[in-house]
Amino acid sequence: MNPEELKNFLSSLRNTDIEEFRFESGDQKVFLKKGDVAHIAEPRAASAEPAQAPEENKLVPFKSPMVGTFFHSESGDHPPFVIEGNHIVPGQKIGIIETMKIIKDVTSDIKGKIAKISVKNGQSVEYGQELFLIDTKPEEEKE
Amino acid sequence: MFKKILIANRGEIACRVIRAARELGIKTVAVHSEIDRDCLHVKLADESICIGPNPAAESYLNIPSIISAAEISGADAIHPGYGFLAENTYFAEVCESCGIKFIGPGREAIEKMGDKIAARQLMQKAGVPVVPGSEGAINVDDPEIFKLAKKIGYPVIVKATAGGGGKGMRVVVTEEALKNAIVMAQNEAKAAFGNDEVYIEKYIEEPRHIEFQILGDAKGKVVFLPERDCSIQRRHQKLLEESPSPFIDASLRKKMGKAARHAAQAVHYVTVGTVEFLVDKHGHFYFMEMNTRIQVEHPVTEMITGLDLVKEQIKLAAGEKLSFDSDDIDILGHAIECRLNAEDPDKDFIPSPGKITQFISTGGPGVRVDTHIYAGYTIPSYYDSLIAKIIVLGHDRAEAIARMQRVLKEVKIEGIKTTIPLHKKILDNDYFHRGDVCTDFLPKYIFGVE
Repeated sequence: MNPEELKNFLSSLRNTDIEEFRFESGDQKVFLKKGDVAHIAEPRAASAEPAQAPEENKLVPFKSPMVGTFFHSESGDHPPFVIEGNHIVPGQKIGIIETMKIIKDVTSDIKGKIAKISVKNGQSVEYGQELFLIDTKPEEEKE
Repeated sequence: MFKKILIANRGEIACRVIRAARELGIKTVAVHSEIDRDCLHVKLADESICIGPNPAAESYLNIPSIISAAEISGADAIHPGYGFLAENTYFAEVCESCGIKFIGPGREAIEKMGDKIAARQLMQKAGVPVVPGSEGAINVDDPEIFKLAKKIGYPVIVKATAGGGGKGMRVVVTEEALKNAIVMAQNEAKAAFGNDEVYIEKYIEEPRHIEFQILGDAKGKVVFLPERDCSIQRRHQKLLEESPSPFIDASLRKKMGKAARHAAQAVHYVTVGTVEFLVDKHGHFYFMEMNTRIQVEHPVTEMITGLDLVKEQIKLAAGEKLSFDSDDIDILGHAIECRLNAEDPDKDFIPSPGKITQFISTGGPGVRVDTHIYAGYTIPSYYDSLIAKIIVLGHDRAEAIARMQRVLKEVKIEGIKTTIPLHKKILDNDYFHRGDVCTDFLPKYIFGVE
């Protein structure tokens, strides 16, 4: 089929109750499923698969809620609240920001995995500055 | 001298302060809301810190955020500009307790002059003439207020003690309207300032708004500079200012200047401030209020004196002494300033935020443009509508007027509506040329005759 013929064919198919249609001829392959986008394979050796929807942006920046100095852990020799790879849940404390001698907890409002810690321990941060990158669609946590 | 100043403001005044600081060799920190990331003051400063989301209450009025920004940047002084926290006594106090110098007068001076009723009483004690009025706040249910209003003489004006910007005010022409006017003013004051205290004053007819720039040092010396005439106002917001005033002669200037000095000394005023007077057609003047900050229209005085008021303000805040007297200052000519707002004068001055697609500035001798706008900049809707100040200096008033007329034809700001057309009308007006300008100029000669 040439593109014009295919177009006409698809039009007429739309008005039928055919749900799925597959056509192969030489290196032309057509797969049509009602409701999906019709995909026409280029003449190639690779088999035609329905195109996958582009992966949603699953990396969400966690932004600083205030101006101050960011710390990964309590003062002294304490371990950090989170490290890269940790899974976090809403309400979990993931850092502290000190300002005017007052310490404020930084708590997560989303569920996910720490993909990246974007600031250094003791770094000055402004309002809205990226503190973490959170992977909101991680694979299952391995025990 | 300070090492680093944080400017707790935005737009053109933040740019102004950054320039003065830079010339004094002081480092600068700009603070900004999220939407102001591309504002000019952020580009000009040595460092910048985002302090909050767009609403002013969460950013430019957010004291903890601003103090935190000063802390992490190591600023040893904060300049509050005008508006926002410039006259907030609590902010001045917080700066002090955190060891950061607030570039302005002491907390007490701000407090005393911020309370309009207390300021009036203080001025009366200091021998500065005040507008006849009530001793303090009035109670709408007190029958004595009718006697008082009669004694003052109608028309009277009801004003909010915490007021400003024309809010919480009502003019009363007859006794019958007094009670209702008080209630209305109180409601408005409560909504705008959280304080419903009001007082009454004689309403000066055909008044001129004449103000004096003063400077004070820590040793108690106060200098006054030639007056500014700010009579052209719309809803009590100044639109155009000039110096010297076409109405004030040398002898009245001296009398009023001295009164302004007394006023400032009564509160031991340090750094820069402005004493505002109302002047009636007979040349009687009355203290109106004192503004304890640098003002929008300060460039007018800078042009006719050659002084840099913001540099002087910073030096005075750092403890330096005043190096000149009022008599040392010559009047170098005549200056006029036009405030350009992003408003549509044909649609009742509705704000006109948006992207500036083209900006052609002006120039030539005796021309100054103080602005934060540039082609491609988007004016946000969260803050006030002042986008540029154009100031001209001429040898005399006629040349200043001709120069401003030229300049208003040259300036092009496209993509938004501005008040340039209104300024053109004012500058072309015969009454303005004659200096026949009182605070009712706009409604009488410009709006009324459309």
